Amino acid sequence: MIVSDKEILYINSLIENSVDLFHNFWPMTGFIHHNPLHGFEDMPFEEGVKKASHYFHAKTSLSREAYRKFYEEGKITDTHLQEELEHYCSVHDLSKELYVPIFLAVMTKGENLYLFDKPWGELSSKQEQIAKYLQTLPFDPDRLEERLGVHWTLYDGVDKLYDTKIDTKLNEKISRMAMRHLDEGQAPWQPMEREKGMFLSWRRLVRHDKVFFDATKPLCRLLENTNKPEDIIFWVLHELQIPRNLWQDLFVLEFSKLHGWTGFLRWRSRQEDYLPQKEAPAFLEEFLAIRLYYIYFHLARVGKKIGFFPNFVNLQAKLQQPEAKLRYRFFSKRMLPEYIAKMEEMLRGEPNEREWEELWQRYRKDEHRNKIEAAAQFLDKVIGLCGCEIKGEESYKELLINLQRWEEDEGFLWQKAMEKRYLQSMMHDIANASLQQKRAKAQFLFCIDVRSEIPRRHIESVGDYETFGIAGFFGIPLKVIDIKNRHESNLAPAVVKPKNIVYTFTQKEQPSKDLVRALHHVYHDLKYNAITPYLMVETIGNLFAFDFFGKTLLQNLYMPLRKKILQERYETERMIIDKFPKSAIYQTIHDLQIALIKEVLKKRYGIEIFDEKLQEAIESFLQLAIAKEPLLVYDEAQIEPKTKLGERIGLMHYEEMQLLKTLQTKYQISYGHMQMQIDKLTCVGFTYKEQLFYAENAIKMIGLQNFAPVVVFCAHESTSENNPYESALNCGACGGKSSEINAKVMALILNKKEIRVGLAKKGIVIPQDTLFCYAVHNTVTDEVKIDLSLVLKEREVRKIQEDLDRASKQAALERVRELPFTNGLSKKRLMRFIQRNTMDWSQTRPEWGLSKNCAFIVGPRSWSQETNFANRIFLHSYDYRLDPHGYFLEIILSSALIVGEWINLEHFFSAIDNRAYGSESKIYHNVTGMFGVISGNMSDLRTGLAMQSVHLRGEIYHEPIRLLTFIVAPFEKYKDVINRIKRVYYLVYNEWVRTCFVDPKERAFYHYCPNKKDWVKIDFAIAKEFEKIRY
Amino acid sequence: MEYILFLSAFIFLPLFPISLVINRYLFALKTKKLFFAQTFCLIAGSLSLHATSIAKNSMTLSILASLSMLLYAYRLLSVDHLKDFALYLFTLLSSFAWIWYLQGGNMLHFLLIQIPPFIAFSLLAISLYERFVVVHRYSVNGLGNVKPYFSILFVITLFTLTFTPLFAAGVFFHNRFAVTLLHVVILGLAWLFLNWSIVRLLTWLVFSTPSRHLQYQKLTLKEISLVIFFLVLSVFVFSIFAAKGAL
Repeated sequence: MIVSDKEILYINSLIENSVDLFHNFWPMTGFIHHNPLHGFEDMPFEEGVKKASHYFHAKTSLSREAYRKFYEEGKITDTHLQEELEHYCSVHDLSKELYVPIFLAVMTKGENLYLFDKPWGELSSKQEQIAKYLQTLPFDPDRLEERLGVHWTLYDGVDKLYDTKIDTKLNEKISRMAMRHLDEGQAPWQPMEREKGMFLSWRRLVRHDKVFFDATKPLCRLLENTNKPEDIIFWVLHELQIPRNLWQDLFVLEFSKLHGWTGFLRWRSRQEDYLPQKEAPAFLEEFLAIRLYYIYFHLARVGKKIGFFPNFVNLQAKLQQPEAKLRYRFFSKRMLPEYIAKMEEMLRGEPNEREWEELWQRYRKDEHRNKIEAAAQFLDKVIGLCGCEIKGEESYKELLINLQRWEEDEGFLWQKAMEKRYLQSMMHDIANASLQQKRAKAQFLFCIDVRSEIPRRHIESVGDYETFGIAGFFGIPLKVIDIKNRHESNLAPAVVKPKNIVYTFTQKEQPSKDLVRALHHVYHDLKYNAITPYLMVETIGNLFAFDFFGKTLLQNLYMPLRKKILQERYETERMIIDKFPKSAIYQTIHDLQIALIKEVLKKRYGIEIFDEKLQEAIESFLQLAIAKEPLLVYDEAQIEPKTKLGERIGLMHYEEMQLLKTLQTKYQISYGHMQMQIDKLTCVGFTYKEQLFYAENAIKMIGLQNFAPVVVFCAHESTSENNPYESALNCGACGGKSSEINAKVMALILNKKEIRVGLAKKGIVIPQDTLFCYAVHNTVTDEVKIDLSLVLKEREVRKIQEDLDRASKQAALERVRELPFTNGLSKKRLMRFIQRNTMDWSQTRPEWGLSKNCAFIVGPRSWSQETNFANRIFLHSYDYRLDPHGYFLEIILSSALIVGEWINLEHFFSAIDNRAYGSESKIYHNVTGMFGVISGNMSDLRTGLAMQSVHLRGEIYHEPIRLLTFIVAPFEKYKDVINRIKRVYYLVYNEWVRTCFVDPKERAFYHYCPNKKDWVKIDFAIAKEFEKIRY
Repeated sequence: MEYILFLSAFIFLPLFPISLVINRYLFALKTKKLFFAQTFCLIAGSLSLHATSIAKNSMTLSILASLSMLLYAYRLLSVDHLKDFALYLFTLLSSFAWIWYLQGGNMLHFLLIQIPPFIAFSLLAISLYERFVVVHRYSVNGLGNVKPYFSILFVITLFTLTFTPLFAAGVFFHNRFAVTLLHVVILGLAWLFLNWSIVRLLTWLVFSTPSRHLQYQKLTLKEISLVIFFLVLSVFVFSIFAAKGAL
């Protein structure tokens, strides 16, 4: 079967639509926080979460017990719970007088009070009476067949009836295949024909798999004859008789089985410039085709055992039979205990349909009775708990139905009540802000990252310092190429593709360590070889004991020493930030090409002296090589050379043609390559206009006006050992890297005289004596070190550095107390503990990172300056007075708010269900393919945050609260900014973030209230008194 | 009298094929009675053997006991019921008692070493049956998450009971190992199967995902105390023997 182009297009569009529900997963080298439910953001929050929970088999909220812990700690109050319950009752048309106390009692007092399938112990007479009332209530009609294709794939259905575990086998097979193909340098052996793509490379291998390849079978014959994965997809779907209207759902279900790999492939397949994708292309349709191929084989094989081929039609018919209903209960562990032995006996024998039917009829009655009794027991406990009185059969039935429905939404009610409590507290703090302004002797621009809040507070407290918050890339997206290390990386938010390149040239600080480097290479070659590790362990394995003990027991002594010996230290010497003139670009490329030709001549013909005439000959030969159309064509009859170079060095005609070809192919001296080089070099640096643009935007966006004598751009980075998640602790706005380069570039630009002249014309007057410099904030140790290389006023800056050191120490001591095992430690020991965290290879939690983040304030620092927000708030400086049209607010909302929301919801969902949305414990993580982590030796790619980032000792550490966003700007004038950006519009009105305007003119809050679906006004006067805030 | 005791030991500590009949009878008992009967059998059988010295060096009996042990260790590999597990474990321990006897071991030592952890195991199993009626692979799972104390005690009990090195029974079991090559092979295999079956049991009962449809209730203080008492007793006994060995 060869599928038509139309069908291919159809299948591809279905795949595209399906994967839109999945988020991208970026390689771990640049961990990007993201909302795992990004694909559901166009739906209201609750609807999106419920829908996603169905695809990812995830929880929608924390357990009642977890919320109750917050309730006991006072983070959720009765008042807020009551308000939410009242709203719930009015939406569902329930009596508030009756239901609010019942729900509240179950939430706050009902321990293990859930509706189970089976009663616990004997029923009291009252419970028996209730059970009689409930007799006519139908429970959970069994329509297993309706789940097929929508909730279950075919093999899910087979697994549930026959306990075949096809799902597990498939996931293992596909994960193994993906690990093999997508590897980026970890595996010593690569699969054959990787460059041809995932599907063809896999086909090359599967042909040798006797279990999954039989040339006589039609699917295998098709596989032999097609290069298109869509052919396989189409064939399998037809053979399994899946109705067309279910294809889309089925694709989503299939992709959701391994959503980590899907997310990574989704991202990778869209990166044309990503080198590993060029070397080993992989696309989602290939991934799906391979999965469907194995599905077909598994189902065919199981079909032989169970007596029918489980295609859609056959399986749907089977699911309606009593046997299926009983099997489903047995294998899903829901069967009543007294039937287990009988069921085992039935499964061992060969019962006929009548026997199954008889057993099913008996079972159904008992199951119903059990459920009624369990429900009666449950209702009795509920009524006893709240002390209310229920009369009449219908009231009991109604109560049970309403309680069942309410249980599905209970988590959301807890969560909204908790958010309200925080919102109220923040409104109270903001309304009470005194808005004092003071003159500063230095200004610091920190990243909006929540971890900046503590050092900012302490810096402000040690002297006349002013701090600002700005996205960590300082508004200047760039790609940096480190010439020495041949390494390039994007220093911009993941959603931004930088246009400008910055080159850094580095110089060694100390003599070369060639021996160390050589040993390092040998060690790695031996380690990653298939055979040598055995020998290596035997011969030099013992030596590693020193390293092991040093790293484990004596980190503070051993690790600095180890670093000194093994690492080569570099110092950034020069950085190119200005654009090259066109002539310089051409000249550079020309010089490079001439040098390359000379190198070739030297290697091939031993020519070492290049006189003037030879130089001329080389020039003319170069023109032939880089000509758009070939100027020199091979002439078989010709023996004598046709070029000056050929004549000069005595080449035959065919030899000079060979030389030309070598230069064009091997040394890339050709027209096409030259154009590419020109394009690349044109991107290097920033034009004057670009520099001016970025500088103006950065300054105006944060409302920086009265420049202090020293302005410091504070980049941030994190240091830890043996931590694949290290990039998650670096700057999110720089793609999980340190933002040092961005800070340095910005400081260099703003120190330029011509830029200051340009800025003055735009109304930004920077005093002549103002100096811009940069510093790096280490978020583990809280050290903030100013780089002195740009500094002219060294004495003043050294004074500032002394203050910074004091502030850093205070900040570090405040931050470290949140970490476990710090209780009762002296200050000295705490400082040692902090230092050890940066180099302890067994430390799974070197810092808390962005855990507990809960709010985002867009406005002047003065509104938040007096409150200790305990490392929980993103702070973006903004002054609406400098932004009359809301242009900068638009930029902030469309970039910083979205990044903040991603970070917040990544933590939110990782906390709610760490198995489905997070990546579970770090202890079991293994790096795979140098781009991601898996659990154990085989699993889906783990995408979210590790348990150690959101949990502490088995309990929730990160309180899941949607980002409470405060925008300090007049409401009426600026509310339209939200409508201007579609994504922000969805986030606000679908309640993925909770938004609140702080109107300084009206001195009031405007909060978007999800219950009322409208903006609600709360005056500062009311907000100043904590208890009075109601909305 | 010795012969009567010797024959009664065959009933209380059944070897294959007598075990088929005894097991059938035991299986019909309700859970509590079953565990009581098993404990009684182990004590009565061991005391009977202690009081007799008939056929102490019989190679035939020794091989029969070893094969019986191997058979039930193998049988343990495929059980899905905790009750089945207890039943086969009892028969396995009976075979081990015979091996102990035939190798000249003191049956009182056997009693002191094997009975306390077996009682602890029985108490834990009974507590499960009281709560869930049936403890089957497809009914009760993942207790590690919902009943952590039970799970810890259960794992320790099984290790204590099933000849794991460093635990009392383990030390003695491995001492009985090296009699003949045949013993080494048979007992080695039996030990392997036994441990394998424990891992299998723990996989579904303790380390899997708990069912959402069950009400899990924690162990009462009384239950915990009793189990800990017997476990401590077994460790105490081990310490005495270890000290004795050292001296």
